[in-house]
Amino acid sequence: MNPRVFYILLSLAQEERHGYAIAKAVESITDGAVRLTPGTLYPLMRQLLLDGWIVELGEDAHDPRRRRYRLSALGRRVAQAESRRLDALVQVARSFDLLPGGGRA
Amino acid sequence: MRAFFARAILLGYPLEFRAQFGEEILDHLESDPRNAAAQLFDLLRGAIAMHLDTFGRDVSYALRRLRSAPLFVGIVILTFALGIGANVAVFSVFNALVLRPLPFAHAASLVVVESGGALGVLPAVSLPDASDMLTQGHSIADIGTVSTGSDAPTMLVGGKPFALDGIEVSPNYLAMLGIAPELGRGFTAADARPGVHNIIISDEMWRKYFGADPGVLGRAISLDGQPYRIVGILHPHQLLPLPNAEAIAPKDFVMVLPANSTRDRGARMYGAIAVLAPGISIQRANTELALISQRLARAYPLSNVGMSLSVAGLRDLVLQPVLTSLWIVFAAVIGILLITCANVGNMLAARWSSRDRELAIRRALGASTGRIARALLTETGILALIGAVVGVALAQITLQLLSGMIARVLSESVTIGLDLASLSYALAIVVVATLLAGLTPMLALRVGDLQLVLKSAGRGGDSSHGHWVRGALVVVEIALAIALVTVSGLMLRSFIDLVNTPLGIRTTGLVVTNEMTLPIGQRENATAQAAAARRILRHLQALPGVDAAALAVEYPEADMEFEETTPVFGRTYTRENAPWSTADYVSPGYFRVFGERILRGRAFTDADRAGSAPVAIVNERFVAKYLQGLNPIGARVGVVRGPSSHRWTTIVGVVSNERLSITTDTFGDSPVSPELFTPLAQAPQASFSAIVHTRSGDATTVGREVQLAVAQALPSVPPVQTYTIGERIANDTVQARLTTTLLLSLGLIALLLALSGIFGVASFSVTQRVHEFGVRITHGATSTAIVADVLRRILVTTSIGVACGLILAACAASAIVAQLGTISPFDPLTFATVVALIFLTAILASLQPALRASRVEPAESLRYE
Repeated sequence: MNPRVFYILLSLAQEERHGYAIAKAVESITDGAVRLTPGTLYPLMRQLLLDGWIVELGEDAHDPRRRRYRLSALGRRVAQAESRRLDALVQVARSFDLLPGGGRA
Repeated sequence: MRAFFARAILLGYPLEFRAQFGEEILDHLESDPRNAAAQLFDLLRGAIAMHLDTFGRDVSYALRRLRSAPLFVGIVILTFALGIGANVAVFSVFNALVLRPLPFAHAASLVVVESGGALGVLPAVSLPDASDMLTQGHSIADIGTVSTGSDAPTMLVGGKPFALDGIEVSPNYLAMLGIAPELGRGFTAADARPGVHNIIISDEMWRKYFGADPGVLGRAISLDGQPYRIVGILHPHQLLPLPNAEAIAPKDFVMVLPANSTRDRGARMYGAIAVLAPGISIQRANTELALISQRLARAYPLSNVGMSLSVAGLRDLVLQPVLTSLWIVFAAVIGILLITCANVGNMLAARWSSRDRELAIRRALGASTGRIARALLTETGILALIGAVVGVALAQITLQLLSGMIARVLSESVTIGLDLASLSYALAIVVVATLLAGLTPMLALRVGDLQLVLKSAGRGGDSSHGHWVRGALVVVEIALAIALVTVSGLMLRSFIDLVNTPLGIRTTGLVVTNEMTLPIGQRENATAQAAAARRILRHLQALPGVDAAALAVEYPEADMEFEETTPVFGRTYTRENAPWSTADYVSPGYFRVFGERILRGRAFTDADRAGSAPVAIVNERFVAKYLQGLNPIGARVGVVRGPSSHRWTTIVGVVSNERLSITTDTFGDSPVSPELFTPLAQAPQASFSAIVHTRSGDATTVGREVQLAVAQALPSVPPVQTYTIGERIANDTVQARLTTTLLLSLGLIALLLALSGIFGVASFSVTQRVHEFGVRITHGATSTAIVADVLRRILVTTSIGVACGLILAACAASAIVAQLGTISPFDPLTFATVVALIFLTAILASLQPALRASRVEPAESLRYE
């Protein structure tokens, strides 16, 4: 999975957000390492909407220009599956001493 | 400012995306002002990526869809290939003639000098007029003159004679055109000094006769016994503009115009190319030349009254003679392209209509109409592109097949081939064809229809709207086909008319040679010339396949014409009404060989020799034009015997008219020129041609015999070529033949496309109505009634197409009326034939579908339910 897609899914895992808030959240999750500009973010959002991983909730109560999105049930399952895959990968990396806290310690 | 750019970039995104995210993106950009430029750039990149992504999906979607219908795909590609290929082929010719730069430096400022007079405007000038053009005005910076020479000089190589073909030029001619020799030097003024004989030879001649030895530079070669020193060798395939031959062509050699070139102001027999002064347009130059012409007319009334000097673009030299034909063929291929698009549009409409459930499902799953349209256009574009690839290959093959004819029409001056311009044109055509063929059927694909389709998916609902579009497309196809076939039919009729123009001679069993020139030693004195002529005639008459033989300076389709003044004894003339006639010098057998009738008096005999009383024979036209009120037999006319001297000669016979060329139709008011024949024995010539009438049928064998006989009789004369009169006529009419051939092929393609279009509509409509036919047959309808019903519908559509087509055809025919000769542009026979042909095509195309309709099994039809 495209890491940026995963970050978007992560940012929506606990609360619904509008687009700009998603970009902000991703920035803070990654300590500023990943910046999603509109040219990257919204085409991904469109694809997520088309694939049914996220759902649009309508306009933001405070600002009608913003629309709020949340994770769909499918999106949540996809995010969980990806998390498990990453977790398994990390376990393997530990067992090969690529990360601290490996199985042999 | 940033918002403005952002909005502009957003316009590049698909509409649905803009609707969903547009405002939010603008808000986002406002909320996060960091690194604005980078963000905007990213936004732009996103738009491009999204389109590429969509395009990629559409392509793979289209390929998947197309794979499932190979027959359909094959037919569409073939149709596109015909339309695009025809366009690319004709464009290549157009490109070579009109767009590609001429192979001369500063070609834009080069012009051809023309003289206008009673005979029209010709690209020829006299030497004194040419020099006055340069000195009396300011618009011409330089002028170079050229003569294509009269006789082909003979060069001896290893004792064998070869005829060469060269030109004579003023020393500045080559440099003016930016032509520098590959080896050696160009001409300078010093080369024109009397007694200097220098020559520049072509690369081809250098290789053929001198084995490409660079040592030949400075060496002398002998042409007709005169030594010439080779000072330069031209680049390979060097083309030279030859206005007095109305061509741009390669030649064997270039020499300097001899000092004794005629300075007669009335001798407008030289070609001239001029360089316009910087900043001077052709119009401005012509304004000044008109003034100079008036001045010259006042100064030299005898030679210059009524004459005007002018210049024209160098390109006109090759373009003018073929321009009209080129436009007609170009218009025809555009017509073919439109028919192609209508035809493909029709097929696509059928494919995309009701039965295409896949489209309906996509629509139901939320794809917008615009999105579907885009996918379908991609599908069409892929088909057009593959069609173009096949079409370009077809064009290449066609050009190769026609290259012989094209080269003869365009006089070797242009190389026709596919280049970047042709390929760009092909791509442009692909875009146009994609839009035309892809968008029209979408008119039938209204949003509502798609839902209707889904509902009636099982039956394949017939949307009457879609049917209307398809009918209209077939009408367009038929109308265009009628116009095209009519134009090609009219051109065919006028071509048949042209080649059947009576020449006044027999046209079968004749073998002719090109002009042969006697070698040095025999050429100078009349006795030797006469002896050579007798010797050749004896050899020719002895040939087993030859029935009769003759020699002549000119004969019909010989591609030359000499006119001389021929005053009638006892009459006085002014310069304006001086009698001119075509002068020919013939052996006694001439009239018999050509089957011309002696109408009064007698033919020449062997008794008309040097020393006997001078005699002449004139044609009917001469009598009508110059001898009114006189008994022609016994009348005396002046026959030219050298510069401005005549010998009074008695007319002993009047012969029926012969026409010297099938294509020229101007000599005042008649296509036949007044002609005066003199016995070759009384006025021997250094150059003449032989004509034989064959006893048996085989012209090729007799041709070879004639070549051998000439070689035996006169071993020092270069080998001659032989032709049948039919070949000469074919050569003379090659342009009309090429145009007619192309138009007929295009007409045939148009008919085939119309056939397939009508078949498609008929077949589709029958499929739509299977249920109806089933019910009607159950209720007792006969097969005849069903067939009649299907045919009636198609014939109604066809009739509408024919009505539109006739109007279109009449317009097209009026536009080419000048090309039709004696054939009327509204020639009833052609129009009637074309209409009959179209109806026949329509019936042919709908026959199979109609029969299928009449054989519908009632039970079977219910299965469509």
